[in-house]
Parts: sequence; C-alpha cells; structure tokens
Amino acid sequence: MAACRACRTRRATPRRSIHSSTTTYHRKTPSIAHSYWPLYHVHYFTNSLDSQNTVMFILSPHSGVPIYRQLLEQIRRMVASGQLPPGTELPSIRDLGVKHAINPMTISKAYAMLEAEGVLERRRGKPMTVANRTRVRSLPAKRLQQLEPHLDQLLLAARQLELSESEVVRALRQRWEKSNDTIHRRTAAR
Amino acid sequence: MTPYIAAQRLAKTFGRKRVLDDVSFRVEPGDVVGILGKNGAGKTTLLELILGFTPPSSGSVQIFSHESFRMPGSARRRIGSVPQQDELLNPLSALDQLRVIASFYENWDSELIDNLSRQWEIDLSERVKNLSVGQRQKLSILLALGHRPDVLILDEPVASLDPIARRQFMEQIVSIAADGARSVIFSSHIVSDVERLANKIWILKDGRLSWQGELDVLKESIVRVHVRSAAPLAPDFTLPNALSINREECHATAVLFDWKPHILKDVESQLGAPVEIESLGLEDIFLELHR
Repeated sequence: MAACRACRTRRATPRRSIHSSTTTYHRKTPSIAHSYWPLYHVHYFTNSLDSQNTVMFILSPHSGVPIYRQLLEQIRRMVASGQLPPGTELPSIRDLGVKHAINPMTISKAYAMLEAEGVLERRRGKPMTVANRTRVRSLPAKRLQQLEPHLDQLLLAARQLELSESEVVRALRQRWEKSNDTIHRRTAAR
Repeated sequence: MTPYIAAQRLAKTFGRKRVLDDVSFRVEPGDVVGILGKNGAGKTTLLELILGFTPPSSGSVQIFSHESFRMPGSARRRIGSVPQQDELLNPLSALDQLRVIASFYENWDSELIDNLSRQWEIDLSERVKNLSVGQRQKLSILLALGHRPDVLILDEPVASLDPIARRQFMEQIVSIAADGARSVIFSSHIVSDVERLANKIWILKDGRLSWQGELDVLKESIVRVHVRSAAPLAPDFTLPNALSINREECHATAVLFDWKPHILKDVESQLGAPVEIESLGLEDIFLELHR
C-alpha cells in the first residue's frame, strides 16, 4: 500500500502524479493539496528535498517583482508554514540558476538575506539548510505581513469587479471553511 | 576588489557624429551586464571601445588595468568576444575553424567545446559557408568560450537563435557567472533574456548611459501608479518624479522613477484618494524610458 505524497493518505490504489513520474498520489483532482500544486506540491519533496529539486520554486523573470524577492518570499512562506521543515537542504545556487536560466547572483542575494534573517543557515561545505524551527517560527503578525501583497491583489481585483466589502468577506469565509474541511478530512485519514 | 573593466567619461565621435558621450562604468568579477538600447544607440561602438578595436575620442577605458586600445596580448587572451557580424573562415570545415582558433590558446578546453558542439547540434564536418545563420552564430559563441575567458563580450549573440538554442546558450552563461570570478557583457534586443541573465543593466540612449545599475534596483525604483479620485482631477495634476502621466477626469496613470514605498502614503494623504501601485517588467521600463 502506497502513501499519497501530497497528503500522506494511504490508499490501496495509488495514482501517478502528473508532476513527477515517481510520485504516487491518491486522486485525480479535488482537494486543495492536490489541485493547487504550486503551493502544495512541495509536499512531494519534503522528505527527500535534495539539491536536485530545483523545480519547487515558481520564478517569473518578466514580472515587475525582482527575482530575488520572488524567491525570498516563497522560501519565507514555505518555512513559516512548515512546508520546508528545519534541516531541509536547499538547491545549490548553480543548480537553481541553470535550471531556471537566471543570474546566480540573484539567488545568492535571496539566500544571503534569508541567512541574515535567521531563516536559513549555511554550514561549511554543506548546502544551505532551513534553520531550526525555534528560531524561525515567526509571530502571527509577521506572517500576516507576508500575506499583504496577496491581499492587495485581492482588493484590486474586487474593486475592478465592483464587489462590496461584505460580498468579498463572505466569499473568503466560505473558501476558508471549505479548505478547513479538507484539512480535517486529511488529518482524520492519516 | 579591482574591477575587470572601468571607463571614465568615455566619448567617441565618427566625423562630426558623436556616437558615445560621457560614459562611465565599472564591471566587477562575477557581473553579468545587459546592454539595452535602440538601433544606433551606440551599443556596438561601446563594446568595440572596451575590446580596444578603436581608440576613444576622449575619456578612457581600461580592461584588466590596461588601456583597452593598447592592451598587451596577455590581457587579450583573457577576453572572449562574439561580434555582431561573425568573422568565420568560409572555406574551412567547422572543425578546422575550431582547430585554428584553438591553436592560439594554450588553455583551450576541448572537452567543453566537444560537449557543447554535440549539445548544440553543430555539424562539425560541414563547411562553414554551408552553415545556417543560426549555426554560424553558435559556432562563433563556441570560439569565444573555448579558452575560458575571464571577460566575455557578446554583441547580440542570440539574434538568430531559436528559443531552444537561446535557452542552452543562457544556461552556459549562467554557469560561467556561477564561477563568481568571470564577467559577461552582452547587448540584446531580446529584453526577456536580459531580464534572466543580467544582474546589471546599462540603458544606452543617444550615446549616453541614461540608466545604469542593478536590475533589481531598477525594477523596484520604477513603478506605474493609478490614481482614482472621487472629484475630477485638476488639469495640471501631477505626481513627484513622473516620467509620464495620463489624465482622464477622475483617473490618472503615471510612471514614477525613484519610487520609495513611503511616497505612497504622502501621495494618498495629499490626494485623499486611493493609489494603486503596479510594478513593471524590464520591457515596460525600457519603453517608458524611451518616451
């Protein structure tokens, strides 16, 4: 019996993931963890994240947001949420640079800033690793701060669609509850 | 750290035409510099001055601490360059062309070149004159890479390459840059490639460097703002540091340079209206700087 890499559910009939030929996961679509892979597909890697796993970040060079900032924010979020647990090794600067065809200095800038923040740590001759949880577990207010750009985007879209505050809040609450259900079901299934 | 290349108030005139004017810059080891500019902005002239093909009319440029125009052979051997028009020898086979250039260098890396010519699918047995434009360009790049130069200077190296070849080329540049001790300067009209590869950007406009600095800083300092006001805006409404501004009754869109997040609050309180910030990609920034 194989365990689903996305939610660790054990199922008698595993399916192949479309994202990786070696990954098994248990259903074709639903559930946020399965369908919204950009945010969650790191689940597939958490146990075996090694320097070869360079595809876990989504970097778009043509965005107005500098690449180092995109990388910085993605790693910060993944660490804050525990998707990248302490001790996880990050891809080397060269691997990540070649894979995404982006300037290596951009990557080292992001890594260095995260090191200064205490999110990552560098040990001699070893890849960058996620620092100990006790030091990086940030306060809710700090984590909320990271949500701000996304809230701004939501706000912008809502304004353009001429939706009222109560309509947006209601929709958000519904989504929240729905995703809660999924998480509960997932925990129960473990 | 001593820079690999430094220029002070560099100028070049051809006859009465001033092609470059008051250009100063530094290139440090590990830098990947992307040069952007319209046709005729002076990109090729600038690269030729760095390479020492022609003396400056005034000012100076040094490479490895030597005046470019008078650099000794020892400095020249540390440079690799791909000219805009290739200088391949038509009668030779591609392999012989490689051998000719390799014979000039003691440290020619034949393993690297073998691997790359296979990976880039260059038919080495073919005569140079029978190669396609893209194949010629790939061969020119190989010739510039073989001696593992400390400084690589490329004048529109990917203009004739297909997207796959461009990607392979970019991976090669990234791996050179990852050494940390080698530098690349390249000009290109393909802004998206520059955006991936370069950490520093030079924007040439009418022979002057109208902007130079880190790409990240450029992206963070130029933004487009949208202002929506409840009351109609004054006809002379403007914003600080505006490169351009469009007004329509209650709505204005402006591109601002020297943007800092704290300006947002000032502007919002001054207007009493919400302001939306849109960050711009390099292509948009380039267009805005040329309005």
